[in-house]
Amino acid sequence: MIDAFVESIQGLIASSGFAHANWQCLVMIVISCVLIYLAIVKKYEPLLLLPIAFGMMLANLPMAGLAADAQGGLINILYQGVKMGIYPPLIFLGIGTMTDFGPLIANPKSFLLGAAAQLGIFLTFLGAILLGYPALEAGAIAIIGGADGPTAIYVAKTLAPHLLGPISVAAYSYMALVPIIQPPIMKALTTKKERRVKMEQLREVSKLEKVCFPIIVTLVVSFLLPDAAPLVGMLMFGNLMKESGVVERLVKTAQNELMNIITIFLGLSVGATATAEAFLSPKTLGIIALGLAAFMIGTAGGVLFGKLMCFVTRGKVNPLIGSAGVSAVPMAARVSQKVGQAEDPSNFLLMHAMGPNVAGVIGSAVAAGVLISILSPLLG
Amino acid sequence: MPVTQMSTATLTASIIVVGLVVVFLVLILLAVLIRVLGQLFGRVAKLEDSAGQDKNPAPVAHAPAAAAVAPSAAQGIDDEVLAVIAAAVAAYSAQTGVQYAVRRVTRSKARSSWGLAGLRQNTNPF
Repeated sequence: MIDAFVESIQGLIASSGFAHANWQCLVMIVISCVLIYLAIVKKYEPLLLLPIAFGMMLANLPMAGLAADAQGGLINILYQGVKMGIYPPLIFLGIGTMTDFGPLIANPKSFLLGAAAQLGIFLTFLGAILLGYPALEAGAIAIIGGADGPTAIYVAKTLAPHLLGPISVAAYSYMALVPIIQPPIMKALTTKKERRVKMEQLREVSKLEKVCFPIIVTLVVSFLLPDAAPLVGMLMFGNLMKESGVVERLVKTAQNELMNIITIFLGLSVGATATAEAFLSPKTLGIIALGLAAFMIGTAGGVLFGKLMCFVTRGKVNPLIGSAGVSAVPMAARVSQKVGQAEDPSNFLLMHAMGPNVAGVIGSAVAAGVLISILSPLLG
Repeated sequence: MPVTQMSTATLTASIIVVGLVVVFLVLILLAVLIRVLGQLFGRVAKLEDSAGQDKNPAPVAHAPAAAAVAPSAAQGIDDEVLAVIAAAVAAYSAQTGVQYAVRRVTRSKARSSWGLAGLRQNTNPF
């Protein structure tokens, strides 16, 4: 009787997580707790960082079988939506129903700032190659510079699925740190006079223009870059539903229930890819450093192009709105507003910065299409 | 040359150059299309406005400034707004005893104090 009892206890201990724990999984659990702290206390992109961090914790529980690659497990089934490229476009659908492209339509020159801020992606690709990353991994890392979570996840799952965890954690962490990363670069690259430039009020945009915009963008981008069609197509479909004004029920669902469900599935399963073997490697440190470089170069690219536009238009464009071209909607536009207002409290750049900001979303999707299109033959 | 046969240096250079050129070209093309479309719709709206005004002539305000209303309406400003401006001018001139006429109505580039206060209130949370 006692023997049976002792054997049962020994069996329980042998099959428990304590018996199988190693220092790597403990380190990962500590990292996930730090991320949970940042999400809850510091409110750094909590909607995604919290599920990602908790998914990371679940994946590193010994013997629980909750890693994204644990065949047949709960998270593995949820992960199929990432693996097959379903969740990121659905998130874009929800974002489309919440985005107002009016400032971009009113001032189409903003498209140029959205393009210039993609400089970070391509120069980071060079940096990753110089650091010895293979081309496919370099492409997946470089897209962090697009400052767009779903786009980063979409490109990473296509080009380098084994790096999905560190890339998504880096992308979302830096997006949350935009208010800290961007202002010093913006101030260093602009003069006081430039930061004080007041821009003319934007014209009103008709409903007809707003309805035509998503259709035109979908057709142009998808015909030129079919690889960008899933992201751009869903973003624009969501926006068309919003602007048409005839499917309010669908818009509400896409904005709330659908978006929230996908966010939970995406966050948990992406977090669960960050197992100790995948995360605790020198490559992760490189990804974190390159991600920061990508954000900084993208910001500098946007601001420098803004300076060029300021010069060409003889002071009608405030270069500070260029930094919003990195996407990170709407955080980057808020940063432009804050830095501008710190110089002149009567200056309001928020609406002007929303133009490059949403152009950056389209720009990073186009850049993602370019990377996938050129690099996918290497997948073999 | 297929991508699989490119050297790392060639591949990197082609991604940077092709990537930046394609991103700029696609977004420039979109900017041009959206601008052209905006101008086109603006003209159509103006034509529709003027056609609507021909069918329903603007009501004449019973104010000293009424005579000046018609030319300003051509600028695409609502009849109702013009009537309100004319009424305000009439009320003001009645107080001061001096006759005024609205000759031109143009949009001010500077924001009004009310506009500034509203903007401040809406953007402060950011």
